[in-house]
Amino acid sequence: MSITTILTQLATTEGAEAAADSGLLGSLGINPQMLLFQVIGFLILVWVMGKFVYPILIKQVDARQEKIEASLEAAREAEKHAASADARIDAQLKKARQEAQEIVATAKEEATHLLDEADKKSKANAEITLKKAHDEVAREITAAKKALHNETLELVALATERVIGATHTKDVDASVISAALKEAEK
Amino acid sequence: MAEKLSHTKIARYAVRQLQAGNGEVLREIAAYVLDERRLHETDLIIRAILEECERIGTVLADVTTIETLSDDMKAQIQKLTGASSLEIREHIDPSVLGGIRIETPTKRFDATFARTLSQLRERKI
Repeated sequence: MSITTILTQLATTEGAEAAADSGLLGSLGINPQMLLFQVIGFLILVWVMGKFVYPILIKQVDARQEKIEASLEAAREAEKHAASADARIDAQLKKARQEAQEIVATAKEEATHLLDEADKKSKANAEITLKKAHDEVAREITAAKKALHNETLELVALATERVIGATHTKDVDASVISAALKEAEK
Repeated sequence: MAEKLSHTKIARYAVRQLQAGNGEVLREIAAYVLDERRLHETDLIIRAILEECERIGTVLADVTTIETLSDDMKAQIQKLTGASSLEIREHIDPSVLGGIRIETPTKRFDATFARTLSQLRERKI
């Protein structure tokens, strides 16, 4: 039988008897003996709790507290790292945006340059083509003039032949021969 | 081997003989040409003889016209050639259209209309 059991039995039998006896405490239902035992039991309980239970509890609470604080510290650290990571990310984004802007600007410049080059080239080609066309036209004009000149000569010769054949008389021929011989004598 | 005679030498010999009245000289020259196997030079030898004749004033002229020559024309031709003795071979050729063409062994005078028209055609570019 445990001490607690014994004390409990004792308290219940003696307590009933005492209650029947006392005046004020009795009217209140309080048994002094019982109260004493309860106080002692309570003190024993407190001592047992303080010796065996509270240290363990306190230790556990402390450990938990430490864990919580460590977690909080870790969270703060993590928050700090996150903040610095955010700052780095912002800086990198800014740098990336700047680089992208530079690339776009360079690309625009190059595109403008290429357009200018292409424009110049096409103008030069157009000028060359135009010059070739002019030269071709000039050549054709020259060829046409030559052909016209030759054809005119031929027509004149043919016409002259026909005219001479039709109009040349003996007297005319004699005067022509005479003039030619006189010219040759000179 | 005998030295090969030049055309000029043959011509001078021929002309001298002809002047001397030796009409057989041409046969001699023909025989020489045959003997020496110089038939291919016949034209050249004849030309050389004619040139030699012209040099001494005897001219053989080929005259081409569309009509026969009058005496005046012949006199003018003789004056033009400067020949003391002129022999004209007349050729009537309508294709010359008009005018006169005179050809001697060394000279040529072309005043035909055909020549004028030919010169006109030559101006083609």
